Amino acid sequence: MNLLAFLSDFHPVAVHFPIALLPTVALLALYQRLRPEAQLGSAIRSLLWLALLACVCAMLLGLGNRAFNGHGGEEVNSHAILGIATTVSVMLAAFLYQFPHWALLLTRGLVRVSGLALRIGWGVFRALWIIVRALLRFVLIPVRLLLWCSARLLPKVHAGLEVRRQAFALRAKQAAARIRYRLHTVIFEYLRPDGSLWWQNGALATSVVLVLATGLYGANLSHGEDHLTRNMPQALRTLLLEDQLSGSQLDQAYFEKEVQPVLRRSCVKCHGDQKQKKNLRLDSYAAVVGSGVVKYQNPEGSELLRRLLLPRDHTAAMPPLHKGRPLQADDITVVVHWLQGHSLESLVSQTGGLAPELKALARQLPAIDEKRLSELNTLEGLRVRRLVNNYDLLTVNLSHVAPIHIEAALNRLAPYAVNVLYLDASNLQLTATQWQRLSGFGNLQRLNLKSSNIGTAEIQYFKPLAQLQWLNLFSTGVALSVAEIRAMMPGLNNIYLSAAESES
Amino acid sequence: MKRRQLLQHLALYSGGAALGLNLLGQRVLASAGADAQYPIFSGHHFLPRAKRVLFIWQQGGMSPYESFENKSILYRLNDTSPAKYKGQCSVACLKPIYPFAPQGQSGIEMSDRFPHLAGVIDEMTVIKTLQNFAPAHPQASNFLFTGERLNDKPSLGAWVNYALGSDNPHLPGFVSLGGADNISNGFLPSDLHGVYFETEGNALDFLERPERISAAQQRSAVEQVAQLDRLYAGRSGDTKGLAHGNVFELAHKMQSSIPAVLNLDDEPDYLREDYGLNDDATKTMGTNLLSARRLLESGIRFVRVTDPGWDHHSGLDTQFPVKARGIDRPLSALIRDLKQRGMLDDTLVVVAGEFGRTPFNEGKIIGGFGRGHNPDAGIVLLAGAGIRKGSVYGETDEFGFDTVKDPVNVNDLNATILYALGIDHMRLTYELGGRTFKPTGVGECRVVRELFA
Ligand code: HEC
Repeated sequence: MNLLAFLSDFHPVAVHFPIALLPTVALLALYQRLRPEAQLGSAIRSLLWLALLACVCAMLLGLGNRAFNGHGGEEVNSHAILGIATTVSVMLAAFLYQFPHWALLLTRGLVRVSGLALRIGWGVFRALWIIVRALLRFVLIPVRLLLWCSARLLPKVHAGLEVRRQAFALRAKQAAARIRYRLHTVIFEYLRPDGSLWWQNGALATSVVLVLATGLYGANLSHGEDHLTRNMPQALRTLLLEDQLSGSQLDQAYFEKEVQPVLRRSCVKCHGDQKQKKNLRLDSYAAVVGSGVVKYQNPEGSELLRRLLLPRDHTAAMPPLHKGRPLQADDITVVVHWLQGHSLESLVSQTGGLAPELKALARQLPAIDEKRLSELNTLEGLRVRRLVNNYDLLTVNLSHVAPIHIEAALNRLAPYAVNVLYLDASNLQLTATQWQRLSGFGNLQRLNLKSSNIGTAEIQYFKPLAQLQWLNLFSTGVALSVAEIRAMMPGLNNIYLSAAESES
Repeated sequence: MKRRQLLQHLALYSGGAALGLNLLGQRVLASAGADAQYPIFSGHHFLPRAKRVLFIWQQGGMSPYESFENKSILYRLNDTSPAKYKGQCSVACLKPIYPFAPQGQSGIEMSDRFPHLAGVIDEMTVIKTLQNFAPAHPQASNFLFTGERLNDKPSLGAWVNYALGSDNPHLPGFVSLGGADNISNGFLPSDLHGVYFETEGNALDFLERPERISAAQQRSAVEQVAQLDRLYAGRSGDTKGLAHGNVFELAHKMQSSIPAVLNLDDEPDYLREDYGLNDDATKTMGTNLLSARRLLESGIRFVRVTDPGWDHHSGLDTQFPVKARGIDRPLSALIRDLKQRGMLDDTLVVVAGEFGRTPFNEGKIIGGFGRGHNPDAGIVLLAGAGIRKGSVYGETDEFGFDTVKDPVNVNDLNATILYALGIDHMRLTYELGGRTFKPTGVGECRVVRELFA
């Protein structure tokens, strides 16, 4: 067993022989065809037998590989079937080259059989036609009656019609004769009894095509689907492969941050490691991109999107009706954007305008999902929004929260306190403890306390806010000067105090 | 990516309307109001610079030559027809009527009709190249506010609230003072329609509860209307009617919120004086702008103040000074006031007419001194929300008749306003009848990022 397994490992080596030999034979045969005086017959024959030997070896080793070394799966099976077909085809080619008269016999037999079939077919057709004609005659009695009358009443018109009818019948007969003649030519001319070359070359050509296909399949298995194209120049790629491979240009970061959660929720149940419906996996970037159901910058051409947009009750809609969690409208947007070719980075940098420090900061903060964000906003008057989409930095407006809800609002915000960069707490009337809680929003950059009840004592809580740049204390009870506040919080750029004392 | 094409495809697959909102590329706050009919964006496309916008509309189109555009050639060619425009214009050039002088640190040239504004010009950017797509008021106003020629499209304030919602649950998100033109919600949900407040007398007619109806009765009526709307929406699947209930609900809340917000008696005397409330010439604009500040301060996102009467086909010598005086002091007071309260950092103030005026004297035909409409070069003043301070944007030709550098068309202006609010105008769309509408009309337009410091 071990020995067999060991030998089977040489399958990848063995396969190179048929791959090299068969095209060589084909080239020789071609040369012979062009220069009949070249006398290459024996060379072709011996090489073909050699190729057959190589094929059989490679095939056996391959099957061994499959049996002993645990290779399997649909792709391996296809590769194996192609390999066997190649061997059979080469066998046929070698046989026909060696014994040309067998090819002749083959042809003759075929001619006989097809001639017979043609005759039988024609007979059946005739018989049917006779029946149909009889029926038609019967059905057409009234018409004939009418014609008979018209011939009596309008002899001229009738004569004209009769001429046309005869002309049409003649043309139909001629057409039928032509078709019969064509069929005869095909069978008796092209496959004429000396057509042994036709068979030989046919078998050889089939062998070459099959061996190349087998080889390509095998290489895909061992070197990966894109082993021939991954280094292809972009221009050529666009020209040739846009359709099959363009998925790999889709942005991976975007996929992982935005698209994958969608697929995980709704699709991987059937397209993941448990099940692979229609042999499709949607549980990783590589799988999705390699599957051919997504196309770069071509949402319309992407099978995946088409499936998502089909009406829910369509049989091909995904996820199938009543199975799997249906997509939210928003999910589709994400997919569309990704397919349009946006990258996470470009999307944000072209639009967001966030400074690099903030981006870096955002990466360290706790993530907030959209659902949580929505929930935060259900409290009347509380408005929480991302400063810029895709980043977990928040701008919060507390100033319209009714006094009885303030405590609830603070509780809701507590888990995200560090995510808040801008806070509007103007007009609020808070207790000292509540002010203290607000000062726990450690990453605040802008803080609006205008017209609130904050006083000189409470403002001290905010002293540790190192990131604070903008502070509005207009119309508050804070009895400090700008200089004093600045001494307390040196990072401030803008301070608003009172009509007389503001600085920016 | 051919966006149009994609949209068509999507419309094919899904009936379009359902997806219109989803293509915003936009996460949405599902819960913004139980029955929200519009997406309330859960984040911004851009880092927001402004939280609110005050749009002061110099209805009619202020003359550049009597304000910011001092063209020396007009003094030379005054009263003559320049060879350049022979055959195009039958009237003669008119030189700027009022003397110009550089003002502020920035040395921006201004006519002497705006002495107070000169004091805050260092806070502002002056755009000299506003372009519109139509030369007549109704269409030009539509373009200015909706990006479209016909007058059934949503106004910018409605779009803004469609995206961001109102922060204050007791007030509408879009308010108009001084005039009620071009504040429609168009095809957007009807509760986004701009609410027009009078600033003298009753803010909103019939807002108060009639005496013979008790508060409880009224409350229950409002609730029943909303319930009927919900019932209908549930049965028909058509949720548009829910906006109707929202309107009732909001009106009910405004009964208590509005009188307080618009009560200017709370303001200190020095500020009332500064806004010109004690002077008949400035009282109207003063009241409007001070009210506007209070509205903005109370959480309203988009306030439009209409200042009618800038359409000086004649009367540049008699009427223009009245208009200029009317706005000069209140506007400068507003800028100072916003600044001192820290609001100028996140409030975008826009002062614009629908277009500019020509260098020629139309008064020759109809008497006095006046200028015709010029949709190729108009004045916009911008301040706040990170707008460059004390700077001029755009260049016009030697006559000031056409733009030669940095044109800003009305769609560019609106795209820029949205940008300041953190919204990408290309991703604020509404699907209707097979077309994807956006706030900035059709055709090319751009965010003028250079306007920001
Ligand atoms: C309940 C199981 C199930 C779920 C959940 C499911 N699928 Fe499928 N999927 C199938 C089956 C079965 C097929 C094959 C039948 C067909 O083609 O319609 C299929 C086929 C597909 C195909 C066609 C593959 C091809 O090669 O043509 C795509 C694309 C697809 N699914 C995408 C998705 C996406 C995206 C999701 C998640 C939104 C999803 N599926 C969720 C069962 C499922």
